Amino acid sequence: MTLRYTPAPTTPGPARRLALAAAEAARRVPGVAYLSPGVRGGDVRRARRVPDQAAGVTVTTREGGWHVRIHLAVYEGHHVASVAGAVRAAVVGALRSAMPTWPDGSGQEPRVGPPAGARAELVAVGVVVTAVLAAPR
Amino acid sequence: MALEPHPAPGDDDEVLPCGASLAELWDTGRPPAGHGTCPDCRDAVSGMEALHVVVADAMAPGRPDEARQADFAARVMDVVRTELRPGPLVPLGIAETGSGGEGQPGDEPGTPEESDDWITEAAAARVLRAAAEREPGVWAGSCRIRPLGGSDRAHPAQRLPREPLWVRIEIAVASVPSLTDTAERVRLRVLETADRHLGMDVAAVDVAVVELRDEPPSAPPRRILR
Repeated sequence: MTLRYTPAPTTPGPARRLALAAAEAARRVPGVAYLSPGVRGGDVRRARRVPDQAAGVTVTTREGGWHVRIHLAVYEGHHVASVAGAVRAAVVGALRSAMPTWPDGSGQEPRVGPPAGARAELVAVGVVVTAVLAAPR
Repeated sequence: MALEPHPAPGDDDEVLPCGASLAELWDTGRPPAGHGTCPDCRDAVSGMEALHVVVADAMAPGRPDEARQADFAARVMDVVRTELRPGPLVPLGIAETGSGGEGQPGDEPGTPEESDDWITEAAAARVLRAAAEREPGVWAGSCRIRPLGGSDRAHPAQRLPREPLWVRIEIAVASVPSLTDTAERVRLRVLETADRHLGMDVAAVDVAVVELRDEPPSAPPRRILR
């Protein structure tokens, strides 16, 4: 577990696909201000030119499954725990549609879409709120 | 705006590969002594300056709602500093009570019922300090969040156990009729905010009055020096 700068996966593949799907779902949840990739090691100049749509999402394999963690900031005026729970629910739903068949490192191109035979416990989602900030007026 | 706690070298600081504290570098705007030629420090300073440019661009004249963005830069930097010293992760939601804390056997991991939601101590403390400062004549300083009955220390970047929490907040107080009443109102504000706005299971709040100020309650924020 770390809060240090943890870049989103950039290599095309299942992890990248999960990160993008998670980021898209998280951003749509009311109360989410932005996804927060952290500050250390981030290249602001590069990020300014090429914003990474998955920044703030980490994907790791753990205990035979995927673990997706979303770091985000929440606007004031929203119940922070409720926003975090809503994000987790939204991301779980999105990943069930986008998750690869099996994270076994076999090198096979994962299928996208509801995976045949895949089990829900292949994906676990966590949310870390890194900031609470005033909503735009 | 809440007061920033007095910066002290902390073991949860972001540390550059060279060993320098990124938070301190941000505070001073330059590499620490002996790191003037360090490439890590120079990169960090460069990144900080680049962020200032981005913020300045966003505030450029002619942009709509210019007046609305008057404190934009300050808020951006405030948030960045929150991320530089995140502190441990604090559980969101109601604490588990004797069920093992990580879901029941047979629960489907990844479902909304399994709680894996957290907030950094720095982010939560910022909100709680602001709540304390809504009490007239109160300026908030250090705010720590720990498990109730646990140690005052938490391992950096670790998660606190999913248990009821204890908050300790330091305040400076202007001339008020009753310190006890003021501290009690601050305690209630912190408790209410933790529950209603954050969704943290705070069971106890300790309010420490660490400074008495001979100035009106409407005086602007000023850092508490220890």
